[in-house]
Amino acid sequence: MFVYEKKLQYPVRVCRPSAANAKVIISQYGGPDGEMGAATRYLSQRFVMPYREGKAILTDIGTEELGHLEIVGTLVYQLTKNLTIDQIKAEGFDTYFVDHTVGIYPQAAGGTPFTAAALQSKGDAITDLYEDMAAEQKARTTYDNILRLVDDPDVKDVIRFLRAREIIHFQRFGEVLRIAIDRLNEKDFYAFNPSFDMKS
Amino acid sequence: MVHNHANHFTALLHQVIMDSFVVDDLILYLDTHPDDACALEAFKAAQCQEQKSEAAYKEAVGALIAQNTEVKDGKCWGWIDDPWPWEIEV
Repeated sequence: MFVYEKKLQYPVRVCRPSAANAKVIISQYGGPDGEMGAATRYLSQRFVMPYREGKAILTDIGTEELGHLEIVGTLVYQLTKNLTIDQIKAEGFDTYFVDHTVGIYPQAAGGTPFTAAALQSKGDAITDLYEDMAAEQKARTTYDNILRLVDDPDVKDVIRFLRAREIIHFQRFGEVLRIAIDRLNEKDFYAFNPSFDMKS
Repeated sequence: MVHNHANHFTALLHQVIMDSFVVDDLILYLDTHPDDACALEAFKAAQCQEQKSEAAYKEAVGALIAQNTEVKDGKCWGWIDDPWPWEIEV
């Protein structure tokens, strides 16, 4: 069961509309390393996670990612509100506009719609945790790239918050990985799949 | 909305956001350090602080979750009232 809270995890207040900024930030909504993929990955992987710390962290980080999806959607919404057709054309947002007007659609900056092809739920706790740590780093790099491309301080402030959360999540997944490995056979960590071979 | 009201609303909201973030971050830490006595104490304090700021927000603005909506005599269903989080302009 999920309950919606009528607030953002971090406040967003963008005063300057910018199609150019919206065009790159939409990638963290529905792109390959975006928040929709992150939430889908963790909330799907948790079912076969055998360790209690891992079940909790996948649930709680997956839930936080849904909150981040809302923050990114809010950024794009505020950046595209009150844009003129001239701005939309001049800043290259016309290719998005023709399909979605200024609605929020999960896609990569390059236009590819959200796809689960960029994530895995492998059914092996160790494999999944390595994927999760890589996913956090990929999202962090994407936020670093956005910080290189965007000048607006109101936008950068929010992006810096989201970037910092990727680092915390990376740390927590690393801790779960260490907990999981500590509970395996020290002579051969990969002798079996704890999600499949360890019957409870 | 009167300007002062808007400022007051924003201050209450920012207090909730700050206090609930402390709780969110401690939850992740405690998920992987469930025996950390210091963190458990910090969580209790943060939880208490969050409850206070959420109560103040609910009193002045409204419920943060639909389930906590207070039905008042002669008033319609308040959960649908603006603003929603993406449209807050201050």
